[in-house]
Amino acid sequence: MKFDENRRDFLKKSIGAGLSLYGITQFSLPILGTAEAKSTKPSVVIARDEKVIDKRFQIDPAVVRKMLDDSVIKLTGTKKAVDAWRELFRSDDIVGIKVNTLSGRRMSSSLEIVYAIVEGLKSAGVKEKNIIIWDKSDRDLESAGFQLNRKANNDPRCYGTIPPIGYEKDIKMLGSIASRLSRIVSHCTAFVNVPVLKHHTMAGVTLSLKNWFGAINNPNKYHFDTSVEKKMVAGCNYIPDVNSLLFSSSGLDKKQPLIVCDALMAQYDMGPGYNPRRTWIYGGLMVARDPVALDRIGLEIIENKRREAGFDSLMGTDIQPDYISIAADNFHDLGIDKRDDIKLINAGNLEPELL
Amino acid sequence: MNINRRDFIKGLVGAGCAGLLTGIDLSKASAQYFTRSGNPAAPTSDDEHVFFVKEAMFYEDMGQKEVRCKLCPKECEVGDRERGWCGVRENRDGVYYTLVYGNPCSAYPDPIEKKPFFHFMPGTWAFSIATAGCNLNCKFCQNWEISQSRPEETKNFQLPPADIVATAKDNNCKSIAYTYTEPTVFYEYMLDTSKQARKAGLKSAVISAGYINPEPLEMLCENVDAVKIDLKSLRNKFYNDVCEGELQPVLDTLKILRDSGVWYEIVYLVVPTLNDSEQELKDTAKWVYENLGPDVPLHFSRFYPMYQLRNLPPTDPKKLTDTRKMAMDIGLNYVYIGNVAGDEGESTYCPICGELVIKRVRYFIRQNDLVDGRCKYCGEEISGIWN
Ligand code: SF4
Repeated sequence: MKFDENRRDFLKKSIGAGLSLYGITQFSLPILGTAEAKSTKPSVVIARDEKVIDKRFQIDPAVVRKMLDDSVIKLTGTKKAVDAWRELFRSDDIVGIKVNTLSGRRMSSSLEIVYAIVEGLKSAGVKEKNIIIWDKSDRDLESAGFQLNRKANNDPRCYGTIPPIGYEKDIKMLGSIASRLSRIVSHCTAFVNVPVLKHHTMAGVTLSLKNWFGAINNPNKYHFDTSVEKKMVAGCNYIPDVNSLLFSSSGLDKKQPLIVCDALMAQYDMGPGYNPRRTWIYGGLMVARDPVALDRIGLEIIENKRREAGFDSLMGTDIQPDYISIAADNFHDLGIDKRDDIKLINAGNLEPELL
Repeated sequence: MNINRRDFIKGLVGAGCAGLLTGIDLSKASAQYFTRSGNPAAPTSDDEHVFFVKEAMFYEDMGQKEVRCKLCPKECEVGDRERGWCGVRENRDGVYYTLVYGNPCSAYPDPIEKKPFFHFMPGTWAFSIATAGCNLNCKFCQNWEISQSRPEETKNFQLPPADIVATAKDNNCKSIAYTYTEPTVFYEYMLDTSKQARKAGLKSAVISAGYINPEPLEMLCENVDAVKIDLKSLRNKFYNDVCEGELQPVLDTLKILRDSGVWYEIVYLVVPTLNDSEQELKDTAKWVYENLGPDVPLHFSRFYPMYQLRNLPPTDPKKLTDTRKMAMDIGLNYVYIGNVAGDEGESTYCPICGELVIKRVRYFIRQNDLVDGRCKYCGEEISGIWN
């Protein structure tokens, strides 16, 4: 599906005009700060290991930890894991680990990966009580197997935006996007974004850019496009706008140093809900600082699996994930999507299996 | 905190009845008790506050656990575990559910004039309910804190239809109004409540943007007594850019109402620079006159800066006065001005003899010179439902 040009023009005009026609409070758009400097190629590190998850979906936490440490070493170009974590986080950071827990135990961010991230943060000196594992709701977190913890004790905290944290009172606006941000967003100084590698029946794929839908109060408004016979059909070209809103209004560009995509088990069709007939064991982690680059590579992995399983490509369908390249355009400037400009690093013992 | 009917009625009796008995506007006082309008500081929950989950009406199975909602013209195609655009309907394993049945976030008595209905049971009170959610997103919405929220963000009451009817009767309300947000999105709740209300001798009044598909609208018309439609503009571009909707379905709704026998009135909010050109206002009045006839009340309301349109000025009252005159010159008999307290355009005049027949100040009737729905001075029948 093509991006709705009118809406896009409207968005541009609204921003460009300074005082927009519709009285939208203007936020300045993000300067690329999520990934490496623009002049250098952003890296996407893939670590796969056949021992990390078995056929009964048992995950080995020690292997996960090693995969993650190896990945952050490659990503930062340091020699030791502790140096890598220290380069990514300051000891006084309040780090929000944004997990993806909409799909129950099987297709949500794995506890073992989150545990490994917590250990990495601790090695950088971040205090456990300054680590918040969070998503949209307590219910989703619990259904994905996370144990809630609201106490300021020596464990990481874990809770959803609802209840009782809630959303900011003020609405944040950028172009045609108007949302309230989770109060957790403004509380944190840094984030680890932990999406899951999976297909999405409305967005094509759901990876690091889409995971921020869990940080706003009204994601339902942005799951649709109206371009086919004025009906609300799937197609999430608002995703870059939502990211831009978050970046511009919360300083998130400075707060998002790390993305760890859970690709231990992945889903190539009928997502984001878990469907056992459409999942496969990929046995990998994808680690990056540039969300657009990571999503571009993640899409390739899913496309490759779809081809292998005899499914049509997502390209040319109504849910072709155009939003990834839109996120890279000059207006959004959220990262790099051109394949040749992305540096792919293999930190595992298996090939990445790209398209 | 769960609020059941017992707590609710206790609160209502304490806060509201005194106002009802003495004729004081209790909308403000009761709002403190009963409106839980998405205050983000208040505790919110996605389980505690969604008490009932009921299968939705008007959707079709698209296979592979996807559904298409047929309730409103958006006709969202919704994947498993996702919600429609309005945020209050959810696909769970290929079955589509409403999350707002019996879960109003606002419920309290209002004067029927506040809706506004000027030709429907004047001087009576309507027990007014709303749930979270809306199928449009008007950038001037007055109630955006609830209309643009999902039900887990608002604090809700447990009030199934029977309890709404009982509470309305207990509080001497003559009707139930489905209002504040967009009742289309709580269609099932509204429909069941209106059926039970009719059995109990209460009327039902719907306050809507009219963005609904014909089939559900026709079913609704069989069960309700009055509908107020917010016609936002006569330009599709305005609907696209400012409301995230389309004009044509709203015009279709008005024609269905014309043919249905249900009483209906139209409100047009005049928004400076966006829908207030002389040509557009004239086109609107002409469209109403030519398509719906001279006797449909048309209210031109004053805009105040709100939500995403905070940098526009309020509508100049003179603009409203001029517009009212223009619409009456076109041939409309009942043209009103809204949100300008004390203006002569708040009152009803006999279209034949020109005498003042109902004098209103804000939401209250100061004088009623109708006799059996006729002008006391010349005997002309004034359109409406008066008893
Ligand atoms: S009622 Fe809601 S879910 Fe249904 S079509 Fe309209 S916006 Fe979509």
